[in-house]
Amino acid sequence: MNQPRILLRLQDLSAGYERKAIVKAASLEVPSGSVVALLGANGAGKTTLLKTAIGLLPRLGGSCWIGDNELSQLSNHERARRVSWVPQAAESVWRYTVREVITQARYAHRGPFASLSGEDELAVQQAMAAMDVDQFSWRSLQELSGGEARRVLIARALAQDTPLLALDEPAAHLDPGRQIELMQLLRRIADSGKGVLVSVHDVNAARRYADHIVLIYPDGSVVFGDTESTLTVNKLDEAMDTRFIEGYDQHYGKFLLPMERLHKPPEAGNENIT
Amino acid sequence: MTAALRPRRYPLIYLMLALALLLSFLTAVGLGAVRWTPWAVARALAELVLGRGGDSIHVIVKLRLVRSLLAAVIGASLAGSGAVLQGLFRNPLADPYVIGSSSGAAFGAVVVLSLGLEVSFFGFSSIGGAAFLGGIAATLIVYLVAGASRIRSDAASLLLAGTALSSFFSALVSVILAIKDKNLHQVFFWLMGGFSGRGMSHLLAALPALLVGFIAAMASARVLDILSSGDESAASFGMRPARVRLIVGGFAALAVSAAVSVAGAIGFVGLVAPHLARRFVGPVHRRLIPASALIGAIMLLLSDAVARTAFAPIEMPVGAITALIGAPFFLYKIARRGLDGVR
Repeated sequence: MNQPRILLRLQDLSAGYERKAIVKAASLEVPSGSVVALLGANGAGKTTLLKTAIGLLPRLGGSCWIGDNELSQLSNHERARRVSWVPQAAESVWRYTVREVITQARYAHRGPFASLSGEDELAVQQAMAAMDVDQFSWRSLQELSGGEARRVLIARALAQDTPLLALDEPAAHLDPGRQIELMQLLRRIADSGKGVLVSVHDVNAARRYADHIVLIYPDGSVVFGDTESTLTVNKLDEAMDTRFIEGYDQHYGKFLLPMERLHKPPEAGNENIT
Repeated sequence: MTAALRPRRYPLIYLMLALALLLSFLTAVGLGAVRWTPWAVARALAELVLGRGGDSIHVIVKLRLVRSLLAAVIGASLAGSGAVLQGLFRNPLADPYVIGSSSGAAFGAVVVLSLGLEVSFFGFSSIGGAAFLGGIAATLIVYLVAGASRIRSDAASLLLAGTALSSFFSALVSVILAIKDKNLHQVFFWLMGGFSGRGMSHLLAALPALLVGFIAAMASARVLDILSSGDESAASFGMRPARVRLIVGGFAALAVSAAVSVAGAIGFVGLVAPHLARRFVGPVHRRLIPASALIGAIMLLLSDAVARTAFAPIEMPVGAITALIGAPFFLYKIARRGLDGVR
C-alpha cells in the first residue's frame, strides 16, 4: 500500500454566512484511503463547513489546501477534478434519466462543449456498476426511492473521478439497514484509495466506519482526531448537548447511546441555510 | 455490462416533426380568401422554383409564402428561446416574458409609435429598432436588479425581477395609451403580436440576431443540462452558474428581442412548445431545443393561418390566438397533474 497522501487540509478555517462565523478555526486533514466523519448537533455547521472546505461557499478566514494546491489558486475546473460533492438531495426539475444525471459529472473533465469521449463513457459505466444503479439507468430520479437516489448521487460523484469525495448526510432518512449499507459503501470507496469526508448523525456508524472524526461544538469550535480518542462520552455530551452512555456488546463491541438532552441551546435549527 | 439501450427513435421523431412542419406550411400558405389544398400549393411552389408560373395562384402563393416564412421563423426562435430560458431558470413557467425582453420590446415599440418617431430605411424601421433595444434594456435591468441581491443572480430572484419588470412595462404602456389615444390599432399590434404588414425586409433585418441566438442556444445545450442539477451541483462540476445565466440569458434576450421587433409580443409559443417537445424527445437540451423550434414554427404557422382566416376579412392579432389555444392547454396540464404536468 502506498503512503497515504493528504487530499484535504484545513488550517484555522472559519466558515459561515455574511461575515458571521458559524464554524471557527477548523483544522483537519483527509488522507487518501480514509473516511473522515463530521459530527455535530443540528445547526452546528456541518453542511457549512463541508461546502466551505470544497469551495462551494466563500470562506471567512484560514487556509484550505486541496492536494498540493491552496484552494484559492485553483480554477473551478481544476477544483472539480480534485473533489466531488454529494448533496443531501437531488435537485432536478426535468425528468433526466439516471444515466444522464451521472453523465453530467463528466463536465468536470470535458468542459461545456466537447461531446462524451470513450473515457467519459467508461467512467460513467464503472461508477454505475460500483453503486449498483445499472438496473435503473433509464429511469428518472423522481421515480426512485430515497436510498436509490442517494446511490445515484454517489455514483455521479464517482463518475467525476476525483481523489476526494465530500458528502452531506448521505444516510439521512434511510432505514437502519440501508444506513449500514451506505456506510459500508463509503468504506469501500475509501479502501479503493480515495478520501471521503462525510457528515453523519449516527455516532456509532462514525465509530465503526470512520478513521478520523471532526466534532463541531455548539460554540463553533472544532475538534479533530482519531475515532477512539474523539468519540468519548465527555466530548459528545458537550458537542451534542446530550448525555451519552457507553455500553459493550460481545458481537458489536463498544457502542454509545444518547440518553437525555442536557439543556436547550439558545438558538437551534439554522442548518442548511444556502 | 453495457446497459440495454432503450429504443428511442429520435431521428424518426424529428422526421415526423419536419413533415408536420412542411404540411403546416403548405396548409397555411393555402389558406386565405382564396383557398388551395396543400398539394396545389406544393405544385405551385415547385413551378415557381422551376421558373414557370404566372397564374393567380403563383402571385398569391408568393405573397403568402413570405408571411408564412416569417411566422415559422419567429415561432421557431420564440420556442427555442423558451426552451433555453426554462432550462436556464430550471422553471417550467419560464418563457420570453420572464426576463422582461418581450414586454420591454413592446414598450420600446409603443414609445416610438406614440411619439410619432417612425422612420424607416432599407426595411429597418425605428419601431423595430426601438423594440429590439427595449427588449435588451429590460433584460439588462432584470439582471442588474437580481445581481444586486446578495445571492448573485440566482434563478428565483431573476424570475421575480423579470415578472415585476414585465408588469411595470405593461403599466407604462397603459399610461401612454391613456394619454395618447392615437395609433391604438398599431399599439395593439405590438402588444398582441402579428404579421400584417410585415415583409421580407423585416425578417432579413432580424435574421442575424435570430441566427446568433439559435447557434448560441445549441452551443449552450450541454451547459443547460448541467444547470438542471442545481446551482450548487453545477458549481461542484466546475461551472459558474451566475456567469452562465448572464451569458446564455443574454443571447436568449437577443433572439427574443429580435423576434419581438418583427412580430410584436407573441405569448405562449415560448411557454408551450418546449413542454410539447419534452414529451417527444425528453429534457436533454441538444434534442429539446431543435424539437421546440420545430414545434414552435408549426404552432405559429397554424395560429397565424387562424388569425388571418377565422374572422376574415378582419384579422385577429396572432398573440390572441396563441394565448387562446395555449392557455387552456396549460391549464389542462396543470389540472391533470399539477406542476408535474408542465414538467
